[in-house]
Amino acid sequence: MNTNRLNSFTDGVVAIIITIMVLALPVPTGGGMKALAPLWVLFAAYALSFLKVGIYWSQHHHMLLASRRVSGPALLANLFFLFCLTLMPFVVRWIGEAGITRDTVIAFGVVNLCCTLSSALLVLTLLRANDSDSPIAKAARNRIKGPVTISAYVVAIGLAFAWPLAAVAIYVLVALMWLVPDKRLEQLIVDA
Amino acid sequence: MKPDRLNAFTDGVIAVIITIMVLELKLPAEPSWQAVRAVLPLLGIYALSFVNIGIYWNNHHHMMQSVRRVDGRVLWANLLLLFWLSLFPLLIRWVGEAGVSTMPVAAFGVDLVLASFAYLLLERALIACEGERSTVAKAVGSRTKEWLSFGLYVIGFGAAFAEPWLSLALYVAVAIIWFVPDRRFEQQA
Repeated sequence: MNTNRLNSFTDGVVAIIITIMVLALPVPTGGGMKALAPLWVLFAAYALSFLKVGIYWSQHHHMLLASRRVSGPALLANLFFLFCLTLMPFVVRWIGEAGITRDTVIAFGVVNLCCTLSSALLVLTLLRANDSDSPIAKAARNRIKGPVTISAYVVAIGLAFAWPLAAVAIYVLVALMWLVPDKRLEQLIVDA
Repeated sequence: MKPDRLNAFTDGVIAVIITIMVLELKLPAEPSWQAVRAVLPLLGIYALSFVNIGIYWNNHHHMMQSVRRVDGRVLWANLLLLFWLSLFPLLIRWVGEAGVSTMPVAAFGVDLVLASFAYLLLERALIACEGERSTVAKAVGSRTKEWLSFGLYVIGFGAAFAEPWLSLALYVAVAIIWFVPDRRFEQQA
């Protein structure tokens, strides 16, 4: 199977996920500047979630560009990945209602950990579906960002029990790490 | 990388944004002309936002026609544009709750300024990726319209603190400027 329909289905689902998160944001209650003060934290949480979903999409885009074929297991792994992503608007809504608390910060970390793990599972199924000399196989050989991300989320979830803000700082750092483009992977895709 | 998936993703996001905005509209409280008149400003803001999102999609569509490849920087610039566009439904809801008043109208202006700035960044990223002699670079040209709208949005934002309706008039004026299709790309294609 080629990758076209898996890509367009994923694009559709991710597009809805990234967009409906805004419905969870409350609007200021009054007209003055003071009414904005309690909202900026929620706005920042929204912006971070938007960035995270964008990063997951971008990763998916790169992984699938490096793949020539998909398999049945890859479709299922992709669906599982999408399921984890659909929990992002849910956790954003919780943050919107309860604010940045220990439990919401932990939930945010758990959802992102699930997204990262399911994305790694998708890579495994893609590796099986493609030849050992395909771009994805070459790109997967020395991945460092994946394991770093998983460890960072595990640490952050642990820290959130005592210091939720430390966990938030780790979430932001992980996002910044992914913003740096992967030149090596882009080169592999150009060569492909 | 080819721009296919970037386009498909952008189309999906914009399609959802332009559709969920209608959920923020309110029905008249009772079946009377007075109640209908009370919801008209909200309907106007909805129409303005719908047109604005439509204009961004149109211009994105035209610009991407002449683009052969994209890179990581383009993906991020595009995502930034989508982020600012995604806030329009929220701003409509705010106008729905607070009415046409300074804060929501000023916030609307801030979002318009940032979206147009992100669009300028996207143009730069595309030109950096495709080269100064590419079709997209020639078609984008001097970006007079982009900077003009950027300036009018900034003025519109400031005007909200004196007269919110004046800001809305400026936002509508920019929409009219862009309503004329972007011939630059049609000529190059």
